[in-house]
Amino acid sequence: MVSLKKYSGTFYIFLKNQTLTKFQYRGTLWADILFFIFGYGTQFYLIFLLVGKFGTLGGWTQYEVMLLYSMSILSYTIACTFLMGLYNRTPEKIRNGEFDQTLTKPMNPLIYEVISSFSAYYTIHVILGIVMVCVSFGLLNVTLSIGNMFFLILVVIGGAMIQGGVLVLFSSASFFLIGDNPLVYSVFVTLRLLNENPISIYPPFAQIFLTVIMPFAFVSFYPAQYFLGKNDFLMFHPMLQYLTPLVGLLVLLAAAALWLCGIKQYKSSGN
Amino acid sequence: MIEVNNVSKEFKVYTRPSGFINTVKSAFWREHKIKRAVTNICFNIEPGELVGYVGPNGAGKSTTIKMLSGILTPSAGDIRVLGIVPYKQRMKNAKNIGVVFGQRSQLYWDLPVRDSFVLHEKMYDIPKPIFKDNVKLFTEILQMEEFIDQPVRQLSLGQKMRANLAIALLHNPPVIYLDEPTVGLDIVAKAAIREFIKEINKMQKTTVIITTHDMTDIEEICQRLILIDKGQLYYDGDLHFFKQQYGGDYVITIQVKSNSINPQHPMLSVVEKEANRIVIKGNSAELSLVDAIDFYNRNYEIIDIGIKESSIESILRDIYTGSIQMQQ
Repeated sequence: MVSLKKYSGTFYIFLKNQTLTKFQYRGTLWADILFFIFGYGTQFYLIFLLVGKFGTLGGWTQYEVMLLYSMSILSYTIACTFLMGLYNRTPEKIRNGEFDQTLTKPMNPLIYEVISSFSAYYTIHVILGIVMVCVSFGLLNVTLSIGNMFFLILVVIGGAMIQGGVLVLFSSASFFLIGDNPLVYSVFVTLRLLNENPISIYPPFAQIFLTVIMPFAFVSFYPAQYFLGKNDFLMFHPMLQYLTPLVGLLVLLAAAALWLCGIKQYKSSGN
Repeated sequence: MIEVNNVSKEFKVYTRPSGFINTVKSAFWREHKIKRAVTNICFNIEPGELVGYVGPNGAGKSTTIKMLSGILTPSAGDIRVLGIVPYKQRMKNAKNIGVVFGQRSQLYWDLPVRDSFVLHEKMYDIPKPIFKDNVKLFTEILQMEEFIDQPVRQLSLGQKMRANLAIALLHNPPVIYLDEPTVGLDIVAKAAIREFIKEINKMQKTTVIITTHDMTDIEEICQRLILIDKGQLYYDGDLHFFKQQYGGDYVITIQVKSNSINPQHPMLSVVEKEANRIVIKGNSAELSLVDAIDFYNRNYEIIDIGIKESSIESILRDIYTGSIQMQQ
């Protein structure tokens, strides 16, 4: 309990100061919100147009694909709120030896990195993500029961843990690879795009890959099947619809364990 | 309190190939060399000691400090700090130590110094009264009133270093490692920092290990000297004894009234000689400085006299360049 107080107290101070600094730069803040609306909004609209034009995508209607997309975006923004700092800044710290500081703090190094680089302003993205999910359900004319609403929250958190786990995984790569490795980082962005379409349109090996190896299919595809009452179960068991929270937990824990193992590889740097 | 037994640290260094073909080849298979940063180092430090840890650049000083603070894992050997193995129980160890790296800052760029302090209060779970007392005390000794509420990015190097020192000691650690705490600072800032270190050591019996290239730091702060070079331990012991054993040289310049200086002491060698001025060199192991001056005073009427004794700095320079051979 003492350590919980320690972590929450430290987190609160970081959060307070970051929010204050961020809101000092109002211009950047608004530019950021506009970027989000234009960037993701355009994509949202594009799905509407394109899928509408062709009727369906792998048996999914335009609104259904929009739900898929918005669930993926929502959980992604949640993951980014917590872990974008870790993904962006920690590799640089590891390379230039600044990570020394983290290792002399009386805290779990991973938790310290996460709370010290928490991106508070990303919560605005989260809110916009929630709006997108609500719009999609509205367009689909689906009303959720209380139980389903609760399950949706779990699914979104699970999806955030899956995407967050992958962010942690890629950030741990910098312990093992010494030089810059921009490729590793762009792989994530590309792979993530795959879960914005129904995975049933992909060839079997890609479906297996997205279910077993890099389980992005759990972020939106399987849970969306549940909410929409779909049954294009492909080669996998229908139970997968319910597993998102569990898969998320496993992915995140595995990634965190690997990250903490990576510390042994840390070589610091001379001065 | 601090036990270091036969500690070595090796790094794998990949050799950078020359030529295009070799560079392409290195993408698949690279040669590496084992670089030994530290080899078989042993020492024990008792509570309250002030230890100067010196050696030329690349001697392995920082590597040792990093192993003691849990940042690096030794390749071989055993380290215990207050009974804790630093790299195994990193968080527990962190509570016992304070670390200052002269080249890096513990402070948060955007925050005022005071907020960085509060952050440490939470992080180290420092009881409120201790925190308040320490902030007040440190602000006073280190003269931080004028800048404690300014954001760190506006501070001078000297101010930042003082704040770094304060933050490292806020949780009253029994041990503190200072890695080049005075690098790049002016005389006033250096003096303030030295005073502070001595004061804290006196008040709280804090054990201090300090690495530095400024030998005045060592002479003013430390009682004990540990010297390493090329990763190996060369000297560990009392600072005064070190000076006596490896120093003891003195150079005297004497000007006399008469026009020629003739009789010479057999133990002294002449460096330079003019009609009424002589520069002589001796070693206190053979003839004490007082006796040497007395010898000239008895034979001549001295008008002017200048004395230069060897300093830690000059001794170390001679050791680093190989003019003095040391037995390990």
